[in-house]
Amino acid sequence: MREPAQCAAIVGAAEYKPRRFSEEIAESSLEQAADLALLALDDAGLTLADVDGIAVRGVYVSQQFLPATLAEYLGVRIRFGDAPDLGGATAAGMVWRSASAIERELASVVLCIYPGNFPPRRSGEEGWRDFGASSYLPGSPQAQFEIPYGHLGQNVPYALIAQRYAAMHEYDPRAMARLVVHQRRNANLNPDAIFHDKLLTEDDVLASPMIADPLHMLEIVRPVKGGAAVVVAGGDVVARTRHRPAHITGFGEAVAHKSPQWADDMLDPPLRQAAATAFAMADLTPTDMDGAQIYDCYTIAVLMALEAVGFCEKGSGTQFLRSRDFTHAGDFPLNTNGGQLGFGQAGGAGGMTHVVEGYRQVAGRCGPRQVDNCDTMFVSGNGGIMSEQVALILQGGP
Amino acid sequence: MQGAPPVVDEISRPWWDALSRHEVAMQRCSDCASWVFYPRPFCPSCGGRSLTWTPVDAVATLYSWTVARVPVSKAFAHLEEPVLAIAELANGVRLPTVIQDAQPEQLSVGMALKPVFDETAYEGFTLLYFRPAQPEPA
Ligand SMILES: [Zn+2]
Repeated sequence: MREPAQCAAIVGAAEYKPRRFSEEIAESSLEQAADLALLALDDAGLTLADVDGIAVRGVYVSQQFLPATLAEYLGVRIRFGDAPDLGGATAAGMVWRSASAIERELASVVLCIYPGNFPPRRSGEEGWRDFGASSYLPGSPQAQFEIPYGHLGQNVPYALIAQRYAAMHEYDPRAMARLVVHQRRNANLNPDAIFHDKLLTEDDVLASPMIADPLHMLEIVRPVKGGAAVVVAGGDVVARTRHRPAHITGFGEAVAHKSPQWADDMLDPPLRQAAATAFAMADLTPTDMDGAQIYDCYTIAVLMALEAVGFCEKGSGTQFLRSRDFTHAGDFPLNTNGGQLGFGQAGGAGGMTHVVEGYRQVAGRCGPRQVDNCDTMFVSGNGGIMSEQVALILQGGP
Repeated sequence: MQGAPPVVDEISRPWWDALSRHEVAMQRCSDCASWVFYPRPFCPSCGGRSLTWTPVDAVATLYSWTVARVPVSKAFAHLEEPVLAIAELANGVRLPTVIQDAQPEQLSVGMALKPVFDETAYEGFTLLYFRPAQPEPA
């Protein structure tokens, strides 16, 4: 058992209200990173003078040297710099790396920052070689054995996982639609969510176009522009901050593959190991959680995460989706800010929204969507195609 | 540009050469007998570096499938709702592939597949597609 007070904590957060994907952003990603840093520090009641660590991604002014670039820009000298490369698990990965650095006294206040824009696309003759997360560079296995067959992007591989799941276990599109609707109800209580004003029914989800069988359009995140940051702190600093801290008492990470086509078992995501590591560290179990913020780029990702974490038995996820109440006041509060399905996915910062909401729930700062007596929160990150996954357990301070 | 032809490297050239003869060959580890795919200069099961290209019977079963109702990228927009799938060979190796000559309603995970050596997608390359071993009677 790790005493929460002895663990590093998230002590502040900032998150941009999502903007439409088509909107041009005037500021550079470096300016946004600095802005998010100042907002998050202010939220915590700290200043730049307190900062001695930076974890950052989503800054596109250069392809490398990200912590150094941002440290120089902010005018801080740091003792810990990191730029994890974990796709949608990057934000959660930043948090546990920062917590570890703090616990080993390498740093005391680490900014975890992810401006939520998108890398500039190549255009013209070069542009056709851009296949998003799939690499067409020489030497890439994807350039030889996946992309030529049209196996690229996210929709197809997630659909392949869902179809396999459907063949092996109970699968019900309406249960998936119910999950999307519950998350939408959470989004309807969150004025920042991109779908705040839009009500949704299960029939709407099932009537939305099929994108890649069995996945419908409304089971898939909507890309937006945004960005978020959190401040992770430890030691005496925590007592100087403004809000109830969310201590990081458990964490775990696992990476299984790049493309699920090569997974040993497509239905055994690395989150199973990551969550087991996290719960063992915190000496807690899934039933101890007051809620969960689960990376939800696709409904199938949530279904599989619920099983992998141990919130329900393997193969029983559909029954779980059918029977539990995922709204903030329900018996299993899930993705209480709307999740990415309801809030929007701000590029790589999509994973940060789960961290921010997990923190805000434990800190008791969620207003009309606040989970009552929220002392524990499970947060997951998911990069690639359920390739690289991170689990965090947050616990409130006294 | 239509599609994206394979970016072949030396280590995998025997795979492509075999396909061009309408055969399938894969690396097998001389130390632990594991099949190795995609091609590598070593065996990920045991770390051994002694691999032998070995003929493989390309009869397979359908591990999973989907239909790309929306093009996977601009380069593939010329394809009309392709059936994209994973085929599992008898030796356990799984291959990302395309299913031909089948309506989605005919597909079920676990069904038997036969190889299709496709020379239409990219000039100078043969790709390994599959189709149902027993098509529904017309
Ligand atoms: Zn071997």
